[in-house]
Amino acid sequence: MDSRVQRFRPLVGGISIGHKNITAGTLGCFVEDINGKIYILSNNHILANENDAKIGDEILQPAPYDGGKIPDDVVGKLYKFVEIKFPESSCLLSSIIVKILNFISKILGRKTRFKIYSTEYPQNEVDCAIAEPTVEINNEILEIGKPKGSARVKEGEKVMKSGRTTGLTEGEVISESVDVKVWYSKGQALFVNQILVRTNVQGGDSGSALVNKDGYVVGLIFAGTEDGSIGIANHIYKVEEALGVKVCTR
Amino acid sequence: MEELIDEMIIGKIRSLMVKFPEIIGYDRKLRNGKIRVYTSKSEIQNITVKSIKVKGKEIPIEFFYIGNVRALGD
Repeated sequence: MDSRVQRFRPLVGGISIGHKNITAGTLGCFVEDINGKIYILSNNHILANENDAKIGDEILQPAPYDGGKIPDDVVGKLYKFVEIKFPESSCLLSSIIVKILNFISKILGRKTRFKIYSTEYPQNEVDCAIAEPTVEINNEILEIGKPKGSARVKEGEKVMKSGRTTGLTEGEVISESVDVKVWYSKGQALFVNQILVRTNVQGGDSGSALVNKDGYVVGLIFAGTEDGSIGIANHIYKVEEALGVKVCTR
Repeated sequence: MEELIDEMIIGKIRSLMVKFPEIIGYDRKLRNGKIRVYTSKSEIQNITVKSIKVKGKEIPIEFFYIGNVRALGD
């Protein structure tokens, strides 16, 4: 493990960060709203604990898994997140049947319980959140530098990311229009219009900014394949729209 | 420029995803005239569907094994 999992002041992109109740992820980069207020950008599942966090919750650097503790390592407060939508069933008939089955299972002393879920997956476009920093920041991404802004990704272009676990890695955009089901601790969620990038990503790299060779942020990494050879990223323009911010360039 | 697949085809692929949970995704663009479908298992003999018929035209499916996709928290 290198210094990316250690304490960094001022904050920079590419280092360990996380909500007080998660393991660890990556601080992607800094963004600003129309009033020029600067925020930390990462994923919902890193800063907002898969929808379970409350606005104002403590954000730690390093993340809890890397030894971050309250109050010494608090670097910000959760400011806003986009909810991740998981399939849920509101079918009354299914609900009644499951309650009966679970009641029978309980009477029989079985440990198994039944759960209903819908085969209709609601669509997500982003897994993102921002936190208000309470310590000094340096608007750079480790080993990449200061972002020049945001841009639309192009298929076939060379990109790079700076992540907490695998550091600086390069890659190539395979597609910018993939719909894919992603596993979370709460179950699978469907993401539409995602970027597929051939690169090295591992657990803990979530939240890394995907940057093109010209220095523009094009995506926000949030998922990857089990062998670590393919990363999935949200389009940064969708993240900016959803959170009402822009990649900070000053 | 690769052609975007229409919502009717997406609906049919989504139905396949319900029937075969090992289909975990697809590309919204046709790739060399084929629908690119991503799978979580390398063994997909049970998936017998090899094309999707739309407006009388058969569009072949190309399967790509990528394995399960997970959120990257440590």
